[in-house]
Amino acid sequence: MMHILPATVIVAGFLALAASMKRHQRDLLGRLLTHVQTRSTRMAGWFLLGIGWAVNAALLGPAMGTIVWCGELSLGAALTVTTLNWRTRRPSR
Amino acid sequence: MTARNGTIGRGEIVARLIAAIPANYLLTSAATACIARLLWRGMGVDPANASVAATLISFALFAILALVAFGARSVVRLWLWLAGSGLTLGITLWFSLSAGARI
Amino acid sequence: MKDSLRQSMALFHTWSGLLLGWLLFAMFATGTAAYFQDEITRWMQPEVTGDADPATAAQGAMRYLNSVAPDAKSWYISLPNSRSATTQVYWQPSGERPAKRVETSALLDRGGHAITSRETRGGFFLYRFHFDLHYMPVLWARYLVGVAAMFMLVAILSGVITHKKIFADFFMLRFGKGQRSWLDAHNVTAVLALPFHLMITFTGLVTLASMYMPWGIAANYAEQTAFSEAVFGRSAETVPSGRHAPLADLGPLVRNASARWNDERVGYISIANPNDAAALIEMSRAPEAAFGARGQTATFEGATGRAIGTHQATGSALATESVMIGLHTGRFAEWGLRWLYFLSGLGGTVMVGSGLVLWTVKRRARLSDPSCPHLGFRIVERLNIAAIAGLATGIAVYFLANRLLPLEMVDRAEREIDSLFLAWLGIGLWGILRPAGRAWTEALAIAGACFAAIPLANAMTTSRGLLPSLLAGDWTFVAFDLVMLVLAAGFLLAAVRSAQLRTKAKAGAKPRGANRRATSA
Repeated sequence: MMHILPATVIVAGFLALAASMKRHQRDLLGRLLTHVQTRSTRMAGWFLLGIGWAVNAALLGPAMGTIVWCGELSLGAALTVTTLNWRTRRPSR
Repeated sequence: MTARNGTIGRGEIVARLIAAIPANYLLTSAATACIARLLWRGMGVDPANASVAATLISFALFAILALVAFGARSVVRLWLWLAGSGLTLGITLWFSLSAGARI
Repeated sequence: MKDSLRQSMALFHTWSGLLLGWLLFAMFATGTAAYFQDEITRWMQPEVTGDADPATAAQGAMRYLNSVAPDAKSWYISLPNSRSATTQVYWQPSGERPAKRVETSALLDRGGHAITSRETRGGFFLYRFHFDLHYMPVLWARYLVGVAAMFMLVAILSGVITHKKIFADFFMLRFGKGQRSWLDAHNVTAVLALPFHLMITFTGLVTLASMYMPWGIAANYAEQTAFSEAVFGRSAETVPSGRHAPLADLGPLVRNASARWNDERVGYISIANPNDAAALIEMSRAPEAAFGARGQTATFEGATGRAIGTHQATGSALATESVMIGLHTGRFAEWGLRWLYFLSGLGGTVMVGSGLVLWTVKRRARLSDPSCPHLGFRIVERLNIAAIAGLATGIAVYFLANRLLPLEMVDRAEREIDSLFLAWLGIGLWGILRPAGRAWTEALAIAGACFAAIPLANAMTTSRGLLPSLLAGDWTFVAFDLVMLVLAAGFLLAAVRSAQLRTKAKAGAKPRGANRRATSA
């Protein structure tokens, strides 16, 4: 249960990071973002990943929090990749 | 050393492999021993911690040296560096060991 | 010039990955399973239930050891942790020659009675296999494993340096695109769990550091034992007095030691010269109590039970090493983090496996005659089948053997292990005898079927099947069966996919050059 809040924040962070990459914008948002929007999305993504660390550190202490955060980063990224590619999955060719 | 078309010659691969694995291990061992001596005798760390610190560093050192062996532009320069630093470390270690005995 | 650097790194990555990939795959797979070694052991001993208290377990172990080896040179007692219920004891007989392991070790239940029915090495075997291998001297195995781990470390670093593109491709996992998909799977599993991979590889080397790089210790210590004493406290190698004196009751001593460590559990007891006036008892804190694997120790006089002292290695380097080992083994992890460890390990297993497959997929496209590949290619292809589908089947059969072999069989634990390797060998041979494409489909299907059979065998041979466990809220058993079903589904799905690919390849053997050009850019 303890992982759900920080993991959600981290997934949101990765989704924002994906949205800041041009190649994913059309799939995720249906349009290309402007330069300024891209930059703020990227910053929001990193910020959310940082918040994920802070939540873990607050809940579990900095040492355990960091370890759990690393695990959640991997899991969160995996979830993001799966959802992204699930959404954009088209019949090949 | 690099053959035409950007492909790598067989001799060069062998030279790099020897540099990256056996020579690397010898050099890393010498460096590890030197660091352990330096930390204990030179910087006053207790011998157990000095030895363990050196051992922990050694794995990073080996990995980096292996990368360098494959990444270095010139194989000749690479081997000159290896031989030079190996010699320096060996002499340092020899002096250190003859200056103060082990536990 | 930049290209030649990338090229030589890539060459190194490809070939060292191939050479050691099979071993790394086995290490990753069994090591990942080892994060749940206590749960696996529980599943493999369905007769043992409940929890065990360390003090009671220690008393039970003492009763047992007093009955089988009262005058042994030393006793070693591995107490149950919070996830397990059994005690493992070893002893060293008083004779000169070391005896066989089977004859000098036992697994005890809470009350100190040897568990003779359904003998098994449980999850502990998978844990040991991941660095000791099997059927070969432990020393060789550990060197081999160390070489593989170091190559892995270099391969990770070289992968990151030479393929900066993997970060640009961070979120890319394209399905159904042949080589591109394999590359994506390899990259995604590598990059997503990169912190884990780096940590696990480096700390793995650290766990056996003094074996791989003994020169740091040798530089300061003429004798390895002097170093051990500095780190672990006094060595338990004391001279027996020859005078008999019964050993003090271990129960109160365990509680005493625990109380000194903020009520953290005692994990391990070693006793030199039991039942001798010069007996010495040394207790170590359980590794699950903190990040550092190497905890405090407390020493007691054996005959009187008088506390002699406690020991804790101090210093930042030793603390760092201890935490690194702790991070690798993850014994401190509560269940949420334990699952994260498990999933990361699974990611690593898939990374190595997809890398191995990628080697063949990449080269198949370049073969002059794909219907008759050269010998090297065929060997790699067959070894991949044996390494991936074979090991999976082996592990499944290990669990099946636990349920299906006769309970009172002689050397049952060894026979369980043999079944693992026989199944592995069987799949290996199958891969050689059948055409490669077909062998993949069939071997994956066999692996899937074996995993699917495990919950069935469990339900039929014990009273702790999936449904009763679910009703009883026995989550260890529920989770085990469910993981087996998920693995079964995964392997069967892979079998179906590989069959589909084969029919597709047969239908239209058109060149697929476009994809390849995109990847080499």
